[in-house]
Formats: sequence, structure tokens, C-alpha cells
Amino acid sequence: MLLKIEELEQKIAQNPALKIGCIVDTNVVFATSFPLDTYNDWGEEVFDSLHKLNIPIFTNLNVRSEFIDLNRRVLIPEGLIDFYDDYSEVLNGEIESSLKSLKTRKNKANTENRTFKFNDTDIKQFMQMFKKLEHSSGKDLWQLFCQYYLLPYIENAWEKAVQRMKINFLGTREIESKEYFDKHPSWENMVKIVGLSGIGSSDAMIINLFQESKIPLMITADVGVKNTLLDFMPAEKFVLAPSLTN
Amino acid sequence: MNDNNENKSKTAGQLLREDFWEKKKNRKISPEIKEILEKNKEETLKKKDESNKKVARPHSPEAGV
Repeated sequence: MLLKIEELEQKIAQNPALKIGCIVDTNVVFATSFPLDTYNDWGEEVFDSLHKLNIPIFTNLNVRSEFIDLNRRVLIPEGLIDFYDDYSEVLNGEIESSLKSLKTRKNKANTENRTFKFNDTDIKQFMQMFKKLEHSSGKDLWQLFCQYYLLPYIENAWEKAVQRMKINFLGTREIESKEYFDKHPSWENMVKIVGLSGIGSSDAMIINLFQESKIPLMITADVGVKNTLLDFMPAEKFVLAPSLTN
Repeated sequence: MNDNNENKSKTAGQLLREDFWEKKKNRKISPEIKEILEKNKEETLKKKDESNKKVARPHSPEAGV
């Protein structure tokens, strides 16, 4: 069953099994940790409610690398625009025009209420362009850009998010303890989820974890995960998602 | 109210947002980046200037060149 954030408290009162806990996916953790994400306010409200209601929050370890990768895809364009604003007086040529065009694309995304993300091709394009320019110290412009505009934001981002959002992990020990699990999540079931829904393997892994667990609630801000859960989830389980998911 | 009590009354989202904006606000200009970009701008302008000079000096047929 699909839940809305404003229904959570009432549902918990009606269905105390929901107090067992919930599983969160990467998008929810990321949206709450990144102030410019479309779902930042929604994520804040979700975690605030969960903390007030003392509902334990779980995730798996895959989320950690997905979280860092999402940060990279969002923080690099964000940093490049700060870079453009900081050095606009000394910029010229290809770098200036590429950054100017990036700013226009990002402003358009903001107007359309979308979180602006780079793909690997975008990142490599700027990396190649910046690597052409070197400082006498031996460092190139890309290395310096990363040092000043990416590293300060990305290092400790995961640790802070986990600590502040009070996230617990469902690793092998927890799965084998049977406290939260009836069955062990399996590779075969994960592949079956991918095959039946077309979603990515990391999303399928967390869905499989949720399916095999006794945890009744999963929270996601990803439309693929939400749709797959609604298609395959048993009736006694719940999914909490924003009204409009990306 | 001390910092710890103040932090306890804030939500996870508020604290993470504050961390992010604090870092953005405190970012510093890197002298190395500035130096690279200034040097690049200077070299580009120099090249442009040289190529303009070449274009501006047409060959004279009377000079027999």
C-alpha cells in the first residue's frame, strides 16, 4: 500500500507493526542530505517524523557507494558553477563558454524543479578540458578543482548523513540473526526483480532485502523503486514516497 | 542555550543543510587556480593578437613577395 507522509502517524497508530522499523533507499538519504535536491523538504519531514515516532531506520551497505556516486554527479556541476562565479574575471575560451552553458542548463533545471545531475560523459568532458591546464607545482586544474570544490563537500558526507539521520545497517549478521528476516535475500531473487521490472541491480537488491525482511515499511524517492514495490509487494507491506517521484 | 542543546532541537535535515551552506560560504579563492587561469588568459590573448597581426599585414604584390 502506498503511504503519504501526512498519513504516517495515523497508520502507525492503526498498525503498530509499523513500529518495527523502515528501510530507506539511496534517494531518500541523498535528498535529505543535499539542500538543493527537489525532495529535500520532504526528506527532512520524513526523518523528523521517524525520529519523533522512534521508528528504527535501516538500510543496506550498497546504499553507501550509491550515495557517494549521487553526490559526485550533483556536487561536480554545483562546484563548477561556484568555480565559474569565483573566477569569472580570469576565465576565457572553451572553459568560459562551457561553464556559461552549464550555468544556463542548471538554471533551467532549477526552474523546472529538477535536481541537476551530471552523467559520466559530462564529468569526463570537464575533466579532459581542465586537465589541459597545469600549475608550476605540477597539479592540473582538474585536480585543484576537485581539491577545492568537491572534496570538502563529499568527504564525511556519508558519515554525517548516517549519524544525523540515525541510520542502522542490515548486514550479514543482522540477516542471519533472524530478528528482522524470515529468509535470506538472494542473488537469484535480485536478478528476477531486475528481469521482471527493468530496474537497476542496486535498486533490486534493496527491494529484495525489503521483501525478505519482517520490516513492513520502505521509504523511497525513486519512481522505479516505488512502482516495482507497488507491483510486487505483499498487501501487508507499505511504501512511503513523495506524491510526485523522479 | 549552548551549541549542543541548540543542535538537539534541530532536525537532521536542518543540520545537514547548515553544514552545506557553511562550507559554500567559507570557500576560498585558490591562488594556484587563479594563477593557472590568468596565465591561460594571457597566452590566449597573446596568440589572438599575433594571429590578428598576421591577418592585418597583407602581402604586397609590388614587393615581389
